[in-house]
Amino acid sequence: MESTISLCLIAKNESDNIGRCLKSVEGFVDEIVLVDTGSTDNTIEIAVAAGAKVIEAEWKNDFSHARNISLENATGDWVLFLDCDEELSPESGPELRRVTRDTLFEAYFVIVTNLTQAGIELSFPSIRLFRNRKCYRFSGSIHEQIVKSIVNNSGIERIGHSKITVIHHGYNSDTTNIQAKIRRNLEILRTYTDEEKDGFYFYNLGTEHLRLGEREKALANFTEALRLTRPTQNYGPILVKRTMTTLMELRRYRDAVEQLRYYQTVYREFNDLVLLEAVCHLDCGRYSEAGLHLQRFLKMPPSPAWYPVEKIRDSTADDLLNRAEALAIPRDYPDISVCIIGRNEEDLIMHCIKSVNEIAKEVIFVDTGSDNKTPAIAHQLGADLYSFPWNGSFSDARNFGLSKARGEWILVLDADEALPDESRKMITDMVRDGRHEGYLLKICTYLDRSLSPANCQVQGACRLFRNKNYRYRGAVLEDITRSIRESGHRIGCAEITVNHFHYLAGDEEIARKRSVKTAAIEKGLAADPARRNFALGVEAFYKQDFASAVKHFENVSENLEEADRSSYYYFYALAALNTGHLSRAAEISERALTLFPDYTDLVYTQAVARFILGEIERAEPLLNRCLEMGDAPWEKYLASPGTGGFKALCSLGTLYARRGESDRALKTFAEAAGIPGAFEQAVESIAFLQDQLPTSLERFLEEHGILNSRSLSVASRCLAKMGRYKESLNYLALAAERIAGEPAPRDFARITQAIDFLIKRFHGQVSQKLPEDSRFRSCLIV
Amino acid sequence: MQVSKGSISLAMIAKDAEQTLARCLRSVQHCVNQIIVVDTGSQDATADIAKSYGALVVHHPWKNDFSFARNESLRYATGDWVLVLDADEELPPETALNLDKLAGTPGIDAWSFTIVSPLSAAEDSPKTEHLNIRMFRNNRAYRFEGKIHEQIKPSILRADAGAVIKYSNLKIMHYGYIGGTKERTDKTLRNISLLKETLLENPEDPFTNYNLGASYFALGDLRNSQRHFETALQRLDPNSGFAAALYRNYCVCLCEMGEYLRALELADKGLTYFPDYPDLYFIKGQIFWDLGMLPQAKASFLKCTRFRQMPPEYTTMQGVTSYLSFENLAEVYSREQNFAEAVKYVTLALKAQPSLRLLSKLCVLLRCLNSNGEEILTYLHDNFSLDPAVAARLLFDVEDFEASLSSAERVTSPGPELLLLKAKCLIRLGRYNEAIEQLRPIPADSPLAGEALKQKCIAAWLQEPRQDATAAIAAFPFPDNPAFLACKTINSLISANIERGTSNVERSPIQPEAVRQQALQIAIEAFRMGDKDLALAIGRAVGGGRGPGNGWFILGKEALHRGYNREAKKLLERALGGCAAQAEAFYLLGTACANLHLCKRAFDYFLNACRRSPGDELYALCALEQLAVLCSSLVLDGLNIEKGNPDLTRQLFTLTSLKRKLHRLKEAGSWRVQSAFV
Repeated sequence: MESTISLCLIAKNESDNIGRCLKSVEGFVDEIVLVDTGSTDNTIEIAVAAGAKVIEAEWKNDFSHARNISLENATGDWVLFLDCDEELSPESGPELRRVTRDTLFEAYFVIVTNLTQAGIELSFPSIRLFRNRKCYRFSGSIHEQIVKSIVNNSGIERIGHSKITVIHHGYNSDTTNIQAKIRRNLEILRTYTDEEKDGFYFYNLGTEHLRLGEREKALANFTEALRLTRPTQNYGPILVKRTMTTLMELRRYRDAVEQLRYYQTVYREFNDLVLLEAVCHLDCGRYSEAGLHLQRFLKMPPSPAWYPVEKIRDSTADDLLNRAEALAIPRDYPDISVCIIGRNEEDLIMHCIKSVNEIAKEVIFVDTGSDNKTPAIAHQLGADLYSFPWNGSFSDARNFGLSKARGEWILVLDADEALPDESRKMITDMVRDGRHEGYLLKICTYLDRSLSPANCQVQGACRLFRNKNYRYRGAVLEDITRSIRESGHRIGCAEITVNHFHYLAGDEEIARKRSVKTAAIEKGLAADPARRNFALGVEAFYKQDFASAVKHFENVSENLEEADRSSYYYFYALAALNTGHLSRAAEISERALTLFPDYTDLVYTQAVARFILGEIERAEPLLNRCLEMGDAPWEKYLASPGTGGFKALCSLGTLYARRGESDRALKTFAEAAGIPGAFEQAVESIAFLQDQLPTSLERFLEEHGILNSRSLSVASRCLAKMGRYKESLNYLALAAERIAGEPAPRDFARITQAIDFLIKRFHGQVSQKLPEDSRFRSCLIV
Repeated sequence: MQVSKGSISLAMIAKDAEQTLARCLRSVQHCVNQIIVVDTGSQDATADIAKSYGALVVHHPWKNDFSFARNESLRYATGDWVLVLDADEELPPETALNLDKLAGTPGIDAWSFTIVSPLSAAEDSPKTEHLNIRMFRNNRAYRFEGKIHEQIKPSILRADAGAVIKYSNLKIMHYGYIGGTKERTDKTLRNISLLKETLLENPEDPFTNYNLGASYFALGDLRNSQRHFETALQRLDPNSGFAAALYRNYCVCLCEMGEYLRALELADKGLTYFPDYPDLYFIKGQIFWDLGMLPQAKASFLKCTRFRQMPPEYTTMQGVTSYLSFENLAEVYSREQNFAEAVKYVTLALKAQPSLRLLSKLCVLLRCLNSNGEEILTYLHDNFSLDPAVAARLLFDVEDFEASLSSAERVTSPGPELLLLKAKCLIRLGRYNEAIEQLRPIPADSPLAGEALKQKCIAAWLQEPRQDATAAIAAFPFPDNPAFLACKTINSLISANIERGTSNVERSPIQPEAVRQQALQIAIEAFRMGDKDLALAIGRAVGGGRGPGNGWFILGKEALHRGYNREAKKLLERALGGCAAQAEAFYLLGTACANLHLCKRAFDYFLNACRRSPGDELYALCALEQLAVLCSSLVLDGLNIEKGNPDLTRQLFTLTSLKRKLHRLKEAGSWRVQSAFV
């Protein structure tokens, strides 16, 4: 026999949603009962138009109360209840009729699917369909449940599973005021008495906090919920999963892995937990291990329907596996201990440890006095934690770390350093072959936040060596090579890059580091004035206090150690150049070149000095010599990449332009633009010369294969600098047009920066001519 | 136990209120039993007027304390109920008729009313609405509190925590925002000084700070307004009565300052407390509109129209849930070139609140939909059963002269205004003699006689070959009439047989200003009708005849002034070649292009103006404004490619904010009345 079905709803100001909801059940229910709790919009009109029976009731901050009023008024054999922001999926209507026909079940689970802008996020079984009996009533003033009354009266075995799917639009931010919903929910949750606070309550509270982005609060509630929830309770799996994802978002990977391993034994069929563990390893840089778990995940059968489906990452498990396998390195090399010292490197430590986890047998983190989360993060990423109070000596801190190492090899890093992906494999190859006792690695220090290869320095340093009681010496400018060499061994050289992100730290932190170092120099090198002055000069140089640097360098006596001598000239010449002592800079470089004839940087500094001095004819052969020499060998010298390449090329271009040879200049810049790191400078130089071009700038860029949104943004900036605003704007429009056709991710920041620049420049120029008190002058100030 | 249905005492305080008091007392005299007016030191006829309505007038010196004065007035009340009004208020008949019903309702201690405040005297002026307690039982314990923005509610609730305050669903009109700017400024300044005094006792009191914020806003001092609103917000209890209004008004203030990002955040935060407050959606709509984010603007305004009733406790602008939102929706659709939808929404707006302004907007939109005159007429007739004379005027404005004429013909006995319109149509249609016929019945002493003369002359001059209008001019009886003088001068230019295109007679400029204006109007009409030679001849005569460039320049400037952007652009382009005021010509041309949304051109012209006159702030403002407009449209294009890109979004907010600030600088001193509030 066909059963009749009543749809029961409660609503307040749902005019945006209710139409969609009622339309979805059209023809599949026999009655619509809507309890309106005080709408001021036209919800009621819409419902009445759809044939609903509307009951107006006072809102008592209690969802169950309102829902139960709707049940009192339902006359069908069955009740289907939905929220206004839900709808029945198109294929579910006939199913609704089918399952209510001649059945012994008292109620059914349906699948509720959350639809967000990003697509499906979560689906979740929920009882929404049950026989219309007086004994079935809702309880709980929020997240009201009917299940208790059905289980108590008829037993859990009378609840069936159906394929009926309900789509929930509630957290789609386009149409819903999410914040309002969350606040309302939190307010209602606050009214619960202590007795009512069960596991489900804490789970819901945690979820609301999660939605507000309050992860710590969410976690505390989830933890409480886990304590109060039996594994058989229906929200158990989703609770576990949310707890784990929250832990992961808080970067508490160690805790997450530990708990995931436990819950995998509780919910054996819930394959998401395996996937989550894999993601933890992936996030920590343990690619081989991630791969193992991903393979395990892919072999598992899909979880049964009652486990929640919630998207874990945007990528599929297969994609994740590909990524993991691409970065995994087979363990066929001797054990490596990674020793890291650091203090207050919250932002960088994760990057550092993640970059070595794949190849490290152990990571030893020696904390020299952080007062933030640095050690906690290191620990959660798998590092063994040691604390070593700062005593003014870098060697002591490093040696403490070395003493804890148990691997056959040691890799030494600072917390603001990291290995690029390709370096890891090279390191394992190096230790497997193990020809030398230790190796110089190529440390690449980026000198500003742009991390551009145009502004960095490279230098060799012994960071990889056998674990044989070799120790660092010197409180500052600490060195381990002597200890290795004294034992009669040689140090090899491996072109393996270690990135150093010193300038990504906050300004305050950078300043603090500098003062620690200066103090260490004053104290540690008090007995060696030549070295002390040299070291202080270098510090001043990095602080961009070039005048002080020059003073310190002037006081460096002849007996400076051999090892420091080449960099001494490098810094001295550059400091002189930067203080405008051009002839001196040229002389220092020239003199030093007799000692270090293959040090390209010295030739380059000399060329720049000559050029600025106007001695163009002397500068030109020097620049050509730079190009012939190529960059200086990093294992011998501190070097700036590009002095034997794009930097020399750009300077040469500028030199030609100065001499009026614009054709030659343009050709040179076009060549330089093809070299990474030189692009912007080269394109800007071309744009400056655009009036000398035989064709349009756009055409020229195209002919040289460098017409893209990036070069056009540079051109726009350049024209703005020249005060040619209309053309600047035209190039902006071209850049905006171009970027549409370029593949994602698109770098809109370049365009917005060019817009900012154009506006500021124009405003600045126009302002100059206006009276001092013109309000126009201050209109850009935020 | 009282058996009477409840007598009412009207308690007022007043000072120098002779302009408004009678209107107030007239509206209320028959429904109250006693009128008390506490005069706080009037120098005018306030007391006499009050006495003529039978009021008990008590003189009491002003003590810088509103509550004190009001409480004085309460002391004399003998009725069962007290009604409180201000002199600049009035009871609408429906309210007056229902007062005794309120007084007879048992179990109620006080009644609140909706105070409706039109912001200008215009019929379709925007009106704000807010809720206020104005009638309560005459109980010694009920007394006003607060030196300013005095409140009765706290004392009522103190006397009886269970006191029942009910919304009467009735309105009180308040005309305090209409009238002399000076008076209003004085009043605001007085309020500010009182509020500042109150602030001394409790510098962070949210209510006082809120009121100070509102007062500074009324003065146009946004910086101080923002400062006080912010203090109020920091200490705000969301349950207090003014909380919703604070969110609304603070948002308006922030928008005005160009702080769109903060305004949007605040509106959203406000909506988490007051999700049924349509004004917050309306403000969001306006923010999105300014940002150029049309889909979001549309969604916000649509949301406003979904509210069927406004909870009375909210301060609001009348029409936010209907005609204001409908009109804005029409604007959004018309920006998107979706004229069919735009027409739909203007029609909805018109049905809720008819106005001539909207009707002409509707006609323009119908025109954009390619409707011909007949179709427009049918549409107007079907939807609004318009008077044919009004329809004729509307059709003339959208330049459908045939249809305008045919609509005008339907009027059986046309007055001078309509005759004039018919003549203008006929001239546009080249039927000059019929036009002259139409004008004949307009009597010489009609205020439109001058206008009629002008049209008669135009009808003669435009003919091929040109006709002399001497006869018509000679018959005109008022020798000082500026239109007459203008026609006479122009006619003499023509009868001096100036050949087309060869007019290079140097003569002294047309004077004085009123005549000049008339002549320019004729010139622009001639230009619009395609007679460039006549236009230029007049232009040169007005400018004193210094070469054609200057003639075009004067005409272009005038056309722009009259809102004829297209004509202004053409005229000024001609002027560029040879006028003296190069920088100004470029600036005016830029303005015309900007009005026509030709932003690139506009920027170019403004740049030229800046180059020629580098110290001119206005030119600089305009150039930068156009630059910002152009850049925003690039950013919006980018956002279409990548929805929600944070760099682009940030930039859009920055640019829009800049545009707003520049706009404010340009119009320094004046700001949108639309956004004013209580």
